Amino acid sequence: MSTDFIERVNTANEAIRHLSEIEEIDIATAPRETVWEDGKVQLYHFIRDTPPSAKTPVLISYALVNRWEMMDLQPNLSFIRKLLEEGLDIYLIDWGYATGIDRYKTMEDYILGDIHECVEFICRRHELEKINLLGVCQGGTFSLIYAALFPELIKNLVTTVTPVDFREENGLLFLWAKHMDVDAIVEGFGGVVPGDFLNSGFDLLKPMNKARKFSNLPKVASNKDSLLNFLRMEKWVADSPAQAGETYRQFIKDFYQKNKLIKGELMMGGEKVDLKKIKMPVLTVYAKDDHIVPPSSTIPLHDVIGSKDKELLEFPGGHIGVFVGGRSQKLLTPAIAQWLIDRD
Amino acid sequence: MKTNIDSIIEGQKKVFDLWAETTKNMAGTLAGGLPKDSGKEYWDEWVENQKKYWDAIINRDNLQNAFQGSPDEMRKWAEAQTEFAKKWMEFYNENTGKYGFKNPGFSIDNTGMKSWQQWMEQNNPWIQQNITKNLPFTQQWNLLNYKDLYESFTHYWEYLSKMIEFGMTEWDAIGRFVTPDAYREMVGKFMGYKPAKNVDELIKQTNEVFEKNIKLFNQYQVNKDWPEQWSKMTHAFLEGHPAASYTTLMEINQNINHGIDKFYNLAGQGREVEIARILKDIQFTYIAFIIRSLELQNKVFEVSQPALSKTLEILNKEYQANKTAPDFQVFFNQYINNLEGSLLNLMNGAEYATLQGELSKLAATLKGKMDKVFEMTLEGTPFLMKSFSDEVAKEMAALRKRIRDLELRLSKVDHPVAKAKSKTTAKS
Repeated sequence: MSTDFIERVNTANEAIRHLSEIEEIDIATAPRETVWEDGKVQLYHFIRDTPPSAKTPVLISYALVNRWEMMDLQPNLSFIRKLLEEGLDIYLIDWGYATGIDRYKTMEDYILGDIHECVEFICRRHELEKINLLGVCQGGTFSLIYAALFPELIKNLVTTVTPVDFREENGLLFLWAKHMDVDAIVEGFGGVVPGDFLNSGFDLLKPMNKARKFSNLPKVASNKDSLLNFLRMEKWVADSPAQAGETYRQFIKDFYQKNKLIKGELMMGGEKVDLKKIKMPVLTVYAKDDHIVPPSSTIPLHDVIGSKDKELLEFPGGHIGVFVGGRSQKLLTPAIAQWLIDRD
Repeated sequence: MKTNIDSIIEGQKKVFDLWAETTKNMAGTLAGGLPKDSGKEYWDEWVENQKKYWDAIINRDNLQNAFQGSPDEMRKWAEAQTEFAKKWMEFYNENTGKYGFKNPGFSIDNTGMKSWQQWMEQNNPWIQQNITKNLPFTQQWNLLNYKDLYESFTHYWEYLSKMIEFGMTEWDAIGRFVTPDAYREMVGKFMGYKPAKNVDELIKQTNEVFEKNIKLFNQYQVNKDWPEQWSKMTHAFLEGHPAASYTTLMEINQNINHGIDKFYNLAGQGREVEIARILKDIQFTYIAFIIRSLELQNKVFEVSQPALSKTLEILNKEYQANKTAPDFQVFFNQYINNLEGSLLNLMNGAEYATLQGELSKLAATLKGKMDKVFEMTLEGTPFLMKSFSDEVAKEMAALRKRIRDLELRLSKVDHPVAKAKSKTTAKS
């Protein structure tokens, strides 16, 4: 027992020291510039020290749920910094924070409007006919739709932890969404669905995670790096933007409830979205232990696209681990970069 | 002149003297007694170290500034405390053990910062404050909720550890020490529910609202059975048999609501009547929300009871095998794993999903109606209302669509690269 006591006192000592030293919890520190903007939406170009080894730039389309900063939480474990280090030229769309004025913003506005304008801008800037598109989670679903509608503008497509098949057997979110009255929710929240509402749903997927997280806090706090990483993650989790009501309504109804994308029934801007029209090389990254977008909702993409050059890449971890953590740095990010460089 | 530090050390010396004296007296009652001045060398060494490190931070005006400003000194001070505590406990164990004292009024367990809570609070409230301060606002609530939860479990740990030891794993036995209401409250905290101990209170409040409405309803002689039916339901609730009543309660709630709604049509039109009608809707939506909420909480509670039994069973088997009582943290970790498994089983069913869907609908509807009442109440005042901004948002959306259609048509006839190239050519 005395050893236990001593360990705990030492842990407390370290926590005191580390907490005293923390002045700011900084995330998203990779240098960048805004090269295009339209209202709240901004296109960032990440600044490189050296010329890229691949001539085709990559546009990252993140989800509307939560913020893109997760891909650059801390300098030594940053997905974006690693892609830069591997020789890629990176652009990223920051969707901003939806407010009341965005309540009627639709998926068409995001995909046919914002993504399309960003793609065109980058094409013009680099005098290229096509660029690479990398989609993350819901942003991956958007990327698929875009690539199916504008295949002539996309050279290579990478989807990461992207839901494609929304059958309810695929997991709790898929089941719950089937029983959700999305009209009542959008109307009740005045057309803008709060981020906290979404987060409460994500929390329930692993209801004891908060207890585990805080239970482990003394150990985490005894190491400055761990403590800072913990606080960075907390900052990111809490920074959860609201959802434009019309887009949320459409995403729940057409995707989660009617599974239109994989059935080939989805309409976008008056056109049917046919995934067979995706013929460019496609890399599908999924996480083996993903409880938010399980592999069973991601892998079916492989069978429904028209591409001959297509690859499935399994990451041994969870949804967030794809972008944060040592395994992502060592295994996944270099593999994605190499796949793109090989097809440059 | 005596400084604050002198006072602290003096206080600690008194405690030590008391402990040493008590131990000596107790030991003296047995053959042999303790050697004279036992422990003095540790005490002198500790005092010396205390003075040394406290002197280094003496100029700070308060403890928090001292922690913030002198983390290194504080670490050294705590190390000195640790070293002393270690020697003290060794000395204590070695000497009192000889005379048959195991825990004569002083329990190492109780001072050993055995639990997370002790780590957070007894050891250093400053740590808790500063972790909380560095967390985003929404996460602060989660940490504080977890602290309460942990506190509740540690409160029952003494009983739970005995249950493990004696193999008391059935609820008949558990419930004598951890009442269902107390357990419901703890499980509710895991899930972020309103404290379940207020269930009775919520039912009573709901009952009052219903009784008022039923009185009103009876004036119109619509259905005389309802008051009796309602009374039976609430009694069933309060006697701990709620499950069968939820659907009936919802039906009654809806029927009364729709029945009353008709009277608003008779009351004429106008803003006041409309506000009154929405207020009535809020009242009934809220009641419906409470009923559904209780139903969902009850389902969670039902599956959470076996999770505690299962945890006690597992740890009892381990205890039988090695005769070592588990640490609280071992119990806690095992318990939350079992509880999560049970909850996920429940949540993976259509029944739970339907109930959760209905609950979220009721909550959102409630919020929407309240917003509407606020807006109607403020009508005519110089504030920009949601409904007005809604019109602006609609207009913007329409414009956005028209612009995008034009841009898409333009880009189909003029590829971006072709445009860029032609511009470059023109310039040159």
